[in-house]
Formats: sequence, structure tokens, C-alpha cells
Amino acid sequence: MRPRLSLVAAVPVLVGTLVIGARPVGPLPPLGALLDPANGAWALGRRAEHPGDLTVRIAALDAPVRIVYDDRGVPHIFATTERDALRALGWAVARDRLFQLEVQSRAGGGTLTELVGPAALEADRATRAIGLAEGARRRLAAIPRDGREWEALTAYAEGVNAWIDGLRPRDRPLEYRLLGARPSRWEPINSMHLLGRMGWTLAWNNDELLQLRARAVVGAAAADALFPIHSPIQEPIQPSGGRTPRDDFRPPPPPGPPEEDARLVAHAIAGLLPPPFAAARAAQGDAVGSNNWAVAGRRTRDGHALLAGDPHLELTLPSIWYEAHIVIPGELDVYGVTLPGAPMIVIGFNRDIAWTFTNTQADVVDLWREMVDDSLHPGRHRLDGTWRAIEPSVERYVDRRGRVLAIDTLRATHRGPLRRVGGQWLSMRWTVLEPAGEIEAFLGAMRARTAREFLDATESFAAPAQNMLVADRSGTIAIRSAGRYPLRSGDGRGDLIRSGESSSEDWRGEWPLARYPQAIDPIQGFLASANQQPKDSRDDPGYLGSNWPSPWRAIRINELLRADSAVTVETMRRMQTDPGSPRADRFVPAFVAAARSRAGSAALARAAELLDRWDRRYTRENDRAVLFEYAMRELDTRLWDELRVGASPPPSPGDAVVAQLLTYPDSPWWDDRSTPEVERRDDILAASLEAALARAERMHGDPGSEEWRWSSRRQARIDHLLGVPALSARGIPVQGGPSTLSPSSGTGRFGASWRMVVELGPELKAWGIYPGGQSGNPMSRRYREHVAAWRDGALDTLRFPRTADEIRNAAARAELRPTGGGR
Amino acid sequence: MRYVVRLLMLALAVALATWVLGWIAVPLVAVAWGALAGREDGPVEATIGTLTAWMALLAAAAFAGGAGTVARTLGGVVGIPALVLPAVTLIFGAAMAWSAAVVGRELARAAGRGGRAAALAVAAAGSMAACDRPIGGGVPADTAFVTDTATVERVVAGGEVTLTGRYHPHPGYPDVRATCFSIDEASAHQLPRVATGERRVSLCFENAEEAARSLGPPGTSGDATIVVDRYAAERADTGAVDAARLVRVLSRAPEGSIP
Repeated sequence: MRPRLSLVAAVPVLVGTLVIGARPVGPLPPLGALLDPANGAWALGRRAEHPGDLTVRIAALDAPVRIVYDDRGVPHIFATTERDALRALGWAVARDRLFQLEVQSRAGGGTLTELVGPAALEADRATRAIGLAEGARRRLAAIPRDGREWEALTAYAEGVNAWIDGLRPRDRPLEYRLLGARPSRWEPINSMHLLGRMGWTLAWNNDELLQLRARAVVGAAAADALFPIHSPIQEPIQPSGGRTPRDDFRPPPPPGPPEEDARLVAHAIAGLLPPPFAAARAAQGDAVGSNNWAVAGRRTRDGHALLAGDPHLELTLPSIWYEAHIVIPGELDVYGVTLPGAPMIVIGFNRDIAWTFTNTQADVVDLWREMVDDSLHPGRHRLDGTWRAIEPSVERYVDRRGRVLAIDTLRATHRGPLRRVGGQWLSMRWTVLEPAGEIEAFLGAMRARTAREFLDATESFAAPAQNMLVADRSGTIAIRSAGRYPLRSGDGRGDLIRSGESSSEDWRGEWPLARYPQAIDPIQGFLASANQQPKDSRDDPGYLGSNWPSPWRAIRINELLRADSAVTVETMRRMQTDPGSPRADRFVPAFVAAARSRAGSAALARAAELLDRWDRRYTRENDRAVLFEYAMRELDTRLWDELRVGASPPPSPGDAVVAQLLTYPDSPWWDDRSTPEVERRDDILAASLEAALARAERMHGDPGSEEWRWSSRRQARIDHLLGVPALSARGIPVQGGPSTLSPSSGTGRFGASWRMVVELGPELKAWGIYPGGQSGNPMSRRYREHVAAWRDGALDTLRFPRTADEIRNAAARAELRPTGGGR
Repeated sequence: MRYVVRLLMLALAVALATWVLGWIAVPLVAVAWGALAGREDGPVEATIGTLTAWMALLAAAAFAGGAGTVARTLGGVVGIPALVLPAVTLIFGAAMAWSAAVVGRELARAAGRGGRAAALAVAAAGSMAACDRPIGGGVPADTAFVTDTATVERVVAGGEVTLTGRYHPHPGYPDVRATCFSIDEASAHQLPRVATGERRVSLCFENAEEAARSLGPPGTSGDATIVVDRYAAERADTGAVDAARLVRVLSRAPEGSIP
């Protein structure tokens, strides 16, 4: 009898342990591959750091390659050919970041379901629906097979695959164990997916929807004023000769009658961005914040040109960047950061030049409303009076086991992806989807010897458009907003949906290079970009984009550089986390003056007093920024009440538009339509400030309490790629607020993804940091290595040896040899 | 001692199998162990062996470094304190080992009753011959197996056991000149029985000469209290034999002799 009883107990225990061992149950990952003490995660601890010396045979190599890891875990790759160098780069990146390679590429290719299952289905559908997957295929197909780009892509893939092929199951990264998956082999298309994904992050501007939603509420004239194609405050990237920002203010026309057509269309296409993408966009919010600037030698203390850059992107662990140094003696010697999956150094320096980017924010995606032959299953669209065939394609979404999760039929016109959004069929053209020469541009940039050579090399760069800043050892500094900008018919605007029935509405070409925003060695002796409108509207009133980010950061950089004719490396470093805020400088006096002009309550007087005593610096210790931010939020609510109607009101206009309104105290926009009185500027400012104090006290207690400290309110959040809290770094108090040089977003998920300062003296010197470390293995001490230093605005000295023997305190070495033994 | 050595060998097998095959090796080894060992405590042995093996592997991981980081990180991922993670790891392995061994043991029994699993027989017989588990606890230790020629059920038990009953001539006497022993119900429960055994509980002595010396010459009978060891009960297609070795006679009341 007893054996039977034990069997009754044993069977469920056995089944239970096998199930939780092999499959995820609820929030738990498959426990077997995790808890296995020989091959599971326990083994990852054993192999978290690179062994001191390693020799690997790689069939694809032409000759031996030596990799020396310095004390920061940065691989210095010494090869004899570019192909071998890129093979080694692929190998080294895969060694440290294998899971990241795969997940980021799959995100760009719409195949995440094959790794993580149905949870990613909507994201994959969105990716494919906007054409990223097909775009990558087309861009890859357009690359000549006998050219340098193809060679780079295949060499990189060979390196990644060499690592994968030598990977034992017990060495698989933790994330694969959490998902119960195994690494996939790397193909050249994966690199294109990655670049496409970056294009989506940086160059997806759907201003059409914004315009429609505004027009639907307040009419065309008002919408154009609130979401203008030219920033009301001009501090352009291409210097315009001004010594201060130019306020290009004009009174906004009053709210006009709603446009019914716009309302219908706006309502119909409200879901232009599928939910996962829309959520990501919303989270990005005001976090756009990349900066770069360069100073000519005549304005630096030591007489050498200086360059600084800090691209702001979503912060992740591991970082989106990976540091590497590639040396091909006599041919190439380049250091910088690469995107895992990209066969090149993206931002960095060589012995002669240094370069960095900010996003141009140009409008490079347009929509056309198409007439189709069938509102549900169209096969043709109308163009120039004739019906033209629509190209269909069937997309299958499968899980890890190949089970089909969903099937979509996608369509395209000659312009690009055709989608049914609401009741409308909209086709789209987007530079990111079209063949371009990004890889060729970067490979050329890596070898450039002068700033001019760099500009020549990057002429072919198409998307995502970037403000490319470069400085060289001769002291030349230069910038160009590189990319491909469409020429449009009529008024040239791209923020309105055009009719798809006429080919005359198609793009008519591209901007000529001479028209690009650019400058070389300007008289002012420095150059700066911070996502602001690149050219002063007086210099070029043409359409490049609309609703530009408010130029507060650009103003601050220019302000600091104009005031300093002996700039140092330390100055550059401190600027990257400078807590000053031209935004606060504009608005705080206005709030205080408005409050004092009103014989209001004691609370209002107290709020004005509190705000007036603030030094307007977003330091971690300050306890006044919270009041100011609440006041700005209250102001937003009160000021833009005219827009808050309808099912999908547009987001609020930018702060620069509000700053413009400050100069028109009687503008009808100040009126709060919910009250019988007619409010003027100071009424609204005072009411906003008083409400802000009440809100702050209600939520955080008395002013001066710990809860009012900025470090308690704004914290960086660096999430692991899968969002696993234990593998993330959260609650990191950082210096900076909205529109400071290191802006912090509300979610904390965006920030300076890489900070770099380069001094271009006789011997180039560089400093840099990103939040995190080189290793993607959470068990490694290098996983979170630089988070604390990054938080404090510190920079590491970057090792830039000419030979392997120069590297002192090498952390590890790897010798890659051809299978045949090599030379 | 042999018991300890066997457990260590099992632990070594589990460790190697885990190293080569991963965690899934544990249930595989345990199933085999449960089936092949055949003993009632096979699952306990599998559990101890697995715990020993996995503790050694964890110790090796800790010695190699990074175990603390792993515990903190993984503990965070699955939502348990870091210090508990090693215990969870061991419990996971032990649960698999115990349950798989029980299933293996029961499967083997079922297979034996059905006349299958021929390949198991030889190994099982070998392991049973080495059995030295005391039977004094009254715990059944039966198992079933088959040879490749004839179905046989066999139970064995090592150690000494005291029995009361009646000694008497072998049923084949005088052709078979041996003394046998019918065990009374009071002491019969101490002995394992073949699964299908419904016969009266009796045995013959493998050391017939010693039995003749201690209980009297073949042909005599009476009541006695005796101590035996190496008890074995077998049933083949051709008949059944229970046997034991007479160790000593504690008391005897002879009835007389058959001429």
C-alpha cells in the first residue's frame, strides 16, 4: 500500500518540477536552465569575466587578430585588414552583448515573437506595418555585392557567428535562459534591421497628425502658429551671426473655427501609431536632449580644438553603445562607440579627427491619402487618372517553435507602405526605408584625416538625419545636418497629408548639398547643436520640419561658449551636466512678477517668494525646481484650454511658443474659457503659481522638506532590455531638469547615452562614459560599472594606444587565429 | 560502508550527468536508479545522491567566484532573497530526484508483473545480491524481475531475523533429506514476500548440515525459535523456493522422529 501512496505523491512532484524546469510559469522563467548548478546561471558567475588569455580559431579570418581588453573592458583590436578587424569587432561584441545583438535586431525586423513569444506580437506587427522589415530587405538588396559595405556586413556577421558557433550551452547569456531560447545566427540583414530601428527612434516625425488635430480644434491659422514650421526663438545650428538668440515673435492669431475636414481625418487616423509605438513615443516626451559642440583652438585655453558630444537616447542595461578601438597599422586607428550589430564605429575619433552627432529632427516621413478600388481589400490605387496595382505581401508572425501566431497582408504603393488607418488608406514615404549609404559613410568617416574629408565621406549618409559635428587636429571645426531631405511641391510643407491621386504631390527630389545646414570654421569660433531648428528662418525659410524642440539647450550652450574664450576639457565636461536653464530664466521672472502684481492670497505671495529665491539651477539638492515644474504644468493646463476638446486633442505647443505668448499679455489665448471673466497673462501666471504651490504642498509636504528635493523627484531609470527590475538600475538621482543640457524626462528612461570630450592636440586625448559597462552579463562586475560615475557627470580617460604593448594593466587578451594557422 | 560508497558513486554519476546533460539529467538518473536499485529506499538514495552532487557543484561554482553575484541577481529575477537561492536550487534538484526515483521504482515493479523489462533483470539481480539491508524493521523489500528465459519473482533480505515456528522434514523426504521450517504468523511479517506469493510462509535451510546438527537429523520435527539470515524467496514457472541460512537455534521442543 505504501508504494502506491508514494507514487501518488511523486507523480505530481515530478511533473511539476519538470514543467517549471522547462517552461515559464507565470512570472517565473524556466527554472531548470537557471538553477542547474553546472550549466545554469550559476555557471554565468564563473564565466562572468573574460579569462586572462584566450586563443580562438576562426575559419573566416585571413590572418591572426589580437584583442587586448583594457582596464575598462574595452577591446583594442589589432588586425591587418579591415575585414579581419570587423570580424573581430563582431566577435568581441557578440562575446559581451550577444542577447542585445539579437533582441535589438529582432525589434527592427519585427521578429521579436520568435524570441519572446506572443507578448511581442503587437510590437512586431507595428514594426512591419510601417515598413521597417521590408525596408531593411530593400536596403540590403541595393548594396553592391562586390563593394565595401557588403564586405563589412558579411565580415561582421562572420565574427558574430564565430562566437555563437563556439558557444557552449552553459555559456549562453542569462536572458536566453530566462526565455528558454537559444541564440540565432547572425545575418547581414540583422545589421540593416538594427539601423532601421535606429531610424525609427530618431527620424519618425508624424507632424501631419499633430497639424490635423490642431486644425480640427482651432483652425489652420492658429494651428500653424501653435505648431510652427519655424521656431519662435532662433538659435540655429548654422551660425547666423547673432550674438544672442533671436526672438522671432509675432502675435498668434486667435483660435479660429474648427476645420471639420481636419476633425474627421484626425479622428480617423488617431491610431496612426500602433499602441506599442505610441506608448514609446509618449514616454520619450520632452526627453529629446542630444547635444554637441566644438570649440576652435583660438577659444580654448591650450589652443587645441575641443569637441564634446552626448547623444540622448533611451537608457538601457546593457547600454545601447559598446566601446571599441580598431587598429590596422598604417591604415586605420579609430576609437569610439558602436551600436551592437553595426559594423562600424558610430561616434568617436581617430588620430586626426573626432566626431559626434545629434538628431536633426527633420521631417523625412510624409503621408498621402489614397483612393483605392476596395475599401477593405484594395488591389489598386488611383494615380493620375489611372488605376495602379498595389503590391501585397503576406507577413507571418511565428513563435519560437515556428507556430504561426498571426498573418497580416501588407500593401505598398510606389511611395511606400499603404495602411488602413481609421477609415483612410494612407501611403507613406520615409527616407529610413530607402536605400542609403550609411555604412559606407561611417567606414569613410573612420578613415578621414581632416574635418573636410569627414564631410566628404558622410555626403552619402541619408537617414536618420544627423547633425554631424567634427573637429580636427589642425583646428578646423565643422558641422553639417547630414541626411536626405525631400523637396515637395507647392509650399513644400511635409506636415500636411497630401492627396495620393496625383504624382505631382510626390517628392520631387532632394535638397542639394549646398542648401544643407552646415558651417566650417565660423567666425564665432565654436559650433553647437541641440536638436534645434538647424537654420535661421531668415537665412532659409524653406520647410525642413515643424514643431521643433524648444531651443533652450542650444541657448545655454551658446551662452556658455560665448562667455568663455579659454575653454578647457574640464569646462566641456561640466557643461554636459550643467544645471542652468534658460527656460527657467525666461519663465520664473514672469511668474514672480505676475504674482507680485496681484494682490492675491498669502499663499501666492509665499509661492512668489519661494520661486524668486531659487537660483534656477536643477541641481540634485535644490528644492525649488519642483514648484517651478508644477507651475509650468498648471500653466499648460490653463493656457491651452482651447485645445482640450474633441476625442484626440493635440499635445500642447512647445515652451518656446509659450515664451512668445508672454510678450502678448492680452492675447486671447490667455483667457480661461471656463470662467466668465476674461483673463490676461498675469492672471493665468499667478493662478498657475498659486495652484502649483498648493499641489506641491499637498503631494510633498512643506517646502524645504526632503520630498521637495529634486533628487527625490527626478531620477534616472536604466532598465534591462527585458525590463527585469533586478537587472535594472533605477532611482538614480541625476542633475538636470527639463531643457537643461542633461535633461531628465519624467519617466527617467531617457538621458545621455554616451558622453565624450576630445581634445585635438598634437596627441589626441579623449574622455568618455556611458551608464553601464561593457559586459551584457548581469553577473559581471562590468555590467553596471560606470553608472555611479555617469550619474555624477564624471568622465573616464579613454585609452588610445598605438600598439598592443602600450596597454598597461590589460584585463584580458584574446588571440583570434585562422583555422589554417594563418601567417 | 558499501552503502556510503554506493551513494557516493550515485552522487558522482548525478554530478557528471548534470555537467554533460544539464538539469534534465537528474530525473533521468533518478528514474534509472529507482528502477534498477529496486529497493524501497531507492528514492531516498537518489535524493541524497542528487543533493550531494548539486551541493558539490554549487561549492565549485562558489569557489570559482561570482556565486554571490549570481545569488543576488537570480534571487532578484525570481523574487527571492539571495541566501535562499542555493536552498531553492537544492530543493528543486531533490524534488526531481525523489519523485523520479519513485516513479522509476514503481514502473519497474509494474513491468516485472507484466513480464517485461527483460534487460533490467541481470543488473537488478546483481544489485540484489549485494543487498545488506537489515530486515528487522519489518519493511517489505520485495521486487520483481524476469530473466530472459523464465519469469521469476525473487525477494531477498540480508541481516539476521528471529523466527518462531515449526521445523519439519522437507516435503520430498525421504528422497530429499533436509529439514525445513514453517514460520508462525507472529514472526512471518518480518520477512519480505514475493508480490504474488500466497503460499504458506516456510523455508528450507541452505546450510542443511548445520540444521541437522542444531535441530536434529532430517525426519525430525518440533517447535523452535531460530535465528536466520540470507533469506531469499523465489518463484519461477516451475515452482517456488524459500531459503535461509540457519544461524543458531534459540530454543527447541522436539516431537519425536519419523522412522
